[in-house]
Amino acid sequence: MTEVTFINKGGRLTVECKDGESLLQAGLRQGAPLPYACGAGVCATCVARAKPGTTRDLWPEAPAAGELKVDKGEVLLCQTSAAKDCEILVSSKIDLSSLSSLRPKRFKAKLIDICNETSDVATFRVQLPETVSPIAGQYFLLRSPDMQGFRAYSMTNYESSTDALDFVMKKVPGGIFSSHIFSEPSEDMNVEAFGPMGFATFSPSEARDLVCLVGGSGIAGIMSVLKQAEAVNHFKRHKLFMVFGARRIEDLFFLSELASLRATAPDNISIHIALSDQIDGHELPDIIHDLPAHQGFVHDVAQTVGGDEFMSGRLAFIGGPPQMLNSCIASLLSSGLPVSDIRYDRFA
Amino acid sequence: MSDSKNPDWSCVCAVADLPDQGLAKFEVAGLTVLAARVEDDVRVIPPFCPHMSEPLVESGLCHGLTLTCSKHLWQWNLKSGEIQGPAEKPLKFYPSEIRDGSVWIDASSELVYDFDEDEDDDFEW
Repeated sequence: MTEVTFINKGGRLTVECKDGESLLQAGLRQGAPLPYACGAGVCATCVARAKPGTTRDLWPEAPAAGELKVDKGEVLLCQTSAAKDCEILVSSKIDLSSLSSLRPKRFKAKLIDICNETSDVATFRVQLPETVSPIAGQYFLLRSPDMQGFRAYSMTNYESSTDALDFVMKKVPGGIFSSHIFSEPSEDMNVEAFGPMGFATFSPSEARDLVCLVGGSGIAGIMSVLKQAEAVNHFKRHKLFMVFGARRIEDLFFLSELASLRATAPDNISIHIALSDQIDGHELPDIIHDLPAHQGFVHDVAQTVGGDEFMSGRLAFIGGPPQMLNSCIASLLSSGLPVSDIRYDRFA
Repeated sequence: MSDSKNPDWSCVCAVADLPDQGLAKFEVAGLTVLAARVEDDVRVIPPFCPHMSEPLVESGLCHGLTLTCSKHLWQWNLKSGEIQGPAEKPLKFYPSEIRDGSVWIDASSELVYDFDEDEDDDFEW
């Protein structure tokens, strides 16, 4: 156990850091208002500075490590642990005297119920030793014992209090966690979990029509948002326009859940399927699992089918690979949405 | 190509080389710059987002006169460089003009953003 003191020109805040624990996780679980987005070494939002020799790099190959100015002592809070009692210089925009009431925790958990949904998409459940109260749209960091860094996964389920978290994962060639899920599925695998985290969330008090543009496993957090919205009868009074994309028909999943959701308020819920790959020698069916299907990318189908009127003025949730996110953001902005109404996580 | 009368100025590209909407990347006089059409004029900017050095040729989205960095949704007016929405630093522009259908800039000094606004480089541990 070491003492880590976050400092800036406005103040200082000391927290305890367990052996091998990241500075971000140590700070967040003790209420430090640290900046982050992915928590998994991808986005570089949590860059801070450390004195040489006082910290230990948990994952030198993290995707965002290349963005660091190492000569200036920059580190990723999410991928750095304390080697000794140390001071960490953070942005002066952070009010270190204002502790957060949202305090994620670290758990030793069990990974169970792996189910292959498609050839490269699987669902699984993480059983926690105690209940948590995530906000719809949040994520957890997960790590198997042989992984260097945590990976971020959004929950697909929503319950106000639960010890069971459901996830969906796309197969990553060469990925360690991926290989556990797809190659050697075994019940009751031990994992570490840290959460809940993230800000791409939904509150039923936001009395807004929704637009959801998602591709593949990027649907995860949006499923949680939709389940909470359904639970509070949000779509009795508000509209949903959604496009769910995949490359091919056989890559689709969660269709029965989406069809069931639409059936709860068919006048207010519009859900479309977008398939980006051409089907050689076959006509694309008009309907897949009771949902209208279209050829094209998610953002193109959204514009063609919905147009600006189905997007402007709504609260947007988007999820998918980086290029798809960029295309959807561009479509939403051109439809007049302010950036404050566009919510997403960027894990890849 | 540089200006024989004023060697500080260099030709970036033909206006016709620029997309109707969006940023295009060019190397000129040892600098990497991004150029965009803005109404009947052009703007030439450094290649990075002033927030966290994100390459704007990949993450910069243009619609109308608004430039958005999709990494954290910072936005600017591409005509004036002024901040829109949650951005905290304005865009910098290279001095530019259109001459005979080509885009020219003053490339005498590289425009860079101050990523050390807290002056942490001088922090004494």
